[in-house]
Amino acid sequence: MRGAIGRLLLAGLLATGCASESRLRADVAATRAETEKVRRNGGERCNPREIARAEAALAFADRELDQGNSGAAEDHLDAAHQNLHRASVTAEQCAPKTVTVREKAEKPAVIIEKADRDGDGVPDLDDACPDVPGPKENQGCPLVKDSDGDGIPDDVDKCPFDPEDKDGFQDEDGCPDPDNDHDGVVDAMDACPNNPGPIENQGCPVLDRDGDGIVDWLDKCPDVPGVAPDGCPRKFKLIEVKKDRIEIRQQVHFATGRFKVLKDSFPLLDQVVQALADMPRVRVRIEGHTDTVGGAAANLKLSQKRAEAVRAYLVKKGIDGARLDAVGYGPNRPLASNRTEKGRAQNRRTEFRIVAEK
Amino acid sequence: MRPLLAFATLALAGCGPVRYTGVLWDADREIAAARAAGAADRAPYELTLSEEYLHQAKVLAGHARYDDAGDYGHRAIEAARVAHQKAAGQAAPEVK
Repeated sequence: MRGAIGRLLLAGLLATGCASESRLRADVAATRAETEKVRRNGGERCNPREIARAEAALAFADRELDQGNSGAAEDHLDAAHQNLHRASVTAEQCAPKTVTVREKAEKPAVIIEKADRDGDGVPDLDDACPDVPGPKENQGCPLVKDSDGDGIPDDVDKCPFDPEDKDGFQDEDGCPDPDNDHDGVVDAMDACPNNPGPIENQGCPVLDRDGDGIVDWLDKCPDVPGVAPDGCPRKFKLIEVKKDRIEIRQQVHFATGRFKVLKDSFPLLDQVVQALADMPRVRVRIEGHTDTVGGAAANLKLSQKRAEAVRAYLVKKGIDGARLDAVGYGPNRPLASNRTEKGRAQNRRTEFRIVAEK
Repeated sequence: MRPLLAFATLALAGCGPVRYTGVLWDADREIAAARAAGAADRAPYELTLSEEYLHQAKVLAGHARYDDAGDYGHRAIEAARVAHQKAAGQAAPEVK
């Protein structure tokens, strides 16, 4: 029996995974077609970088889907969407301008009509009920009664004894809608009467922009993932969590010319581990940077190895490796001049960039 | 015979990182050469494509996916060469 349930569960999981994968594949194909369209319409000329990034991201998404990594494929697909959006917005602005010469239209003669708001053929001036249709013999008023006086005759009023509340939501049926979004918060008390939400949030939908599990109206830091009770990042001595990065207050130390992390950096990295454990949906790129002393190729190699060593430490401490990328940039992204010792010291660094939230 | 076979297997398995590393250095060099030839202005599409491939190659290498890293490294080299040719005013094939 247990075995049968297990097989059923497994089959269900596989079916869900396949559905998600085929949806992603379809999305990749559609985005590729759209990219091609934007490219043909001048996108490559106007926004070559965005088009290239979108195409590359789609290729990466395909590869990740082949590997069964739907999460990573989704990240690449997002990147493709963003670049395609940027490309198409600016492509419209830089597309060649075409000018159409329109023939001068003749001005229509001014026609003065008597107003007839309810369209019953009785001009408003002669209509005793200008907003409710009715025959001329009855001075433009309906023959049918309007028991609740809401302006909708009883023969078409679904609630002839309850007046329509006329709040712009289903006002034609003659029935009042005291709670348009059916969220249990009456419209008079509901700050979002057409979008359901709990009473604790004044009837508005619950949002959690930073995805930390603490809803925005309870979250004192709604744009930075944090922990209970206030939703702000935990305070650390050696690091600070910002919106786009984990800022470290001291550098990660390595053996000179090597990539082994020195023991005195363990407390710092342990705090990074804690911060990542607090933000389980965050994905981070560990960046290694060097100064220009020594050969460029050697520096590039060293920075890659050092970034990988930091990643290995975090993985050893329990952080999921799929959330961590390690990239060495060598001396290519300096913060300061490499002509002074102070500048070179600033350039030798490790950075933790928050690249995405799942 | 068996120890020799085991040694050869281990040595070949360890070659993954070595192979991709060489490809990535080559890609870095080709991109630098394309940039020096003015590809940023004259072949921005190909240059960006090349940089994106190289970046992804490094990311995958960090996840020990050496074959994929090597593949993207080769694509980066190919795109960088096309960018270089275009920047130098020569006829160049389309990058795929």
